[in-house]
Amino acid sequence: MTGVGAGVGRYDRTVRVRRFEAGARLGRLGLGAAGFAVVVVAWHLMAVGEVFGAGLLPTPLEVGRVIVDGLGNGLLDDLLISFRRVLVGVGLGLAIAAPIGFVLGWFGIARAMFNPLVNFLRALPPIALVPLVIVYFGIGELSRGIVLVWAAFFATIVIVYEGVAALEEKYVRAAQTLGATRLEILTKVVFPLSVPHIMTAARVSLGIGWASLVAAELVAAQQGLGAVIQNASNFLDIPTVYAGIILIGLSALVMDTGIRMLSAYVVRWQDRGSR
Amino acid sequence: MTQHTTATSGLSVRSVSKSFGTGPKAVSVLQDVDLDIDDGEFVAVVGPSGSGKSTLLNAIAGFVTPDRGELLVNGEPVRGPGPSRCVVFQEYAIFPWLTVRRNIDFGTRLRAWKGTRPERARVTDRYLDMMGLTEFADALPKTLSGGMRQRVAIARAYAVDPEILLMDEPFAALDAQTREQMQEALVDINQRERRTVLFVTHQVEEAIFLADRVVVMSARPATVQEVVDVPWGDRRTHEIKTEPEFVRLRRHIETLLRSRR
Repeated sequence: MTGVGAGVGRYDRTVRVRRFEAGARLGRLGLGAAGFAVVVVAWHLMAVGEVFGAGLLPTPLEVGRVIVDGLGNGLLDDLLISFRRVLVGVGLGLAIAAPIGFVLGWFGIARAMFNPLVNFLRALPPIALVPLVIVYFGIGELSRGIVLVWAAFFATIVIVYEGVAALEEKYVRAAQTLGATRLEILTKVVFPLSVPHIMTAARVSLGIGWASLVAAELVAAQQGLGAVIQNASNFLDIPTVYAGIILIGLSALVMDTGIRMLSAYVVRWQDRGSR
Repeated sequence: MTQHTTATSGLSVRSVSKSFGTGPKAVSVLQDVDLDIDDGEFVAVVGPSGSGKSTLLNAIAGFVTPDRGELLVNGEPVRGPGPSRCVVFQEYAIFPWLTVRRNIDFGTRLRAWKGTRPERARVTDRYLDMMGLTEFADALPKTLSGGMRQRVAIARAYAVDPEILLMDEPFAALDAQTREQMQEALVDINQRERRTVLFVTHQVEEAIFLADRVVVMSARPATVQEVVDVPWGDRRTHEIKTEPEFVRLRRHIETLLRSRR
């Protein structure tokens, strides 16, 4: 049996490339940190130079102190509450939207019928819903949840159905000639192929979720990072506003990194070289 | 070998016609194509590029419904795609999310397959071995070269034990050297386990090297121009490619392909 040799060479190279990637990843991490450092230094100079007038721009150090002091004093609770709201809201939005997106992608008639509607609703900014949500659902946790679920739902549904609609026909055909029924094609071919799109949807939805959080917590929330910013701005407590903003950014970054690592594992079969 | 009277065994294509489009823009792709393939016979189809040879294969596979004519596999009319006519595609159509082993047993894990669990494992192991894939059983397709991917596709097709194997230019995307290795591998597996094969290619040399008979199609609309018998039987090594008879057959077919363009 010949021809195996060529395959072996390719396999070895892949392993070596992976080792090289580990070093490159460390380098990227360093560069990413350097990017933050540049902004922090610039911020510090602007604060010390009082570019916006005296007392209106705190230094990074002052904001850092507010965060550290605050975390031991209730700010951690706000952080965790926001974290939970985003996770639950986005999780629910994903769970509802992924199957619907799957159906819209697979059945052309359903797609033709609902595509314009979905694009209309998805164009609405979640914050525009806040007044209506308050009217119908009050000012409780439910209202905040609805805003977040809404945001995640429409981001997910579009990504999933476009992904499913654009599936490569050749895999479906291959399964057919191997004897797969329509149901088997759906579960054994279409579903695995849509997992990468579901992961992308999760990532985009989490980003939108954090962006909508402040809107959701404008709905008379007592706690949460959005509420912290809201309250602090009422008292012109600018360092705390900055602290809230930075914590939102950091939380979003942590979640994004998490979902990216999960995604890299779940869809490790994807050939990134040829994409 | 040229006796094709029994319609109940093997494949028979009876005056199959197909055109695409409607009205004045309609393009006739297949015109009254007749073809019989006996059980266990390896038939190659060559034709000018853009002729209907892939359409013919897709019609037999059940992806395309002919406008007229009849397609019978072991006496049964073709109705839609199914495992009795498994296809090896030109593009790498192995499932990228499954390992080599899971790709090969994809068909034997479906409800259409009637075997038992130990049988499935035996079948998978046998074709892993025959295609030289045993040490790559747990590898994902993205780590494999093009030739290896087509080995997986061939093993996957053999595993469901089709009545006829349809191969649609399976080696066209491979480099010349890999292509020769794949031709040898196919000769090897086909001599160990004789199957009925319809092999579409645009390479005349490949067709003569692999097949018992070569069907030469004309340009669009495709009809069968001539069927050429290939005399080497089971003696298929690359040496035959330089023998005078091989060269003569090759010239003959190439002339046929050029004549009606």
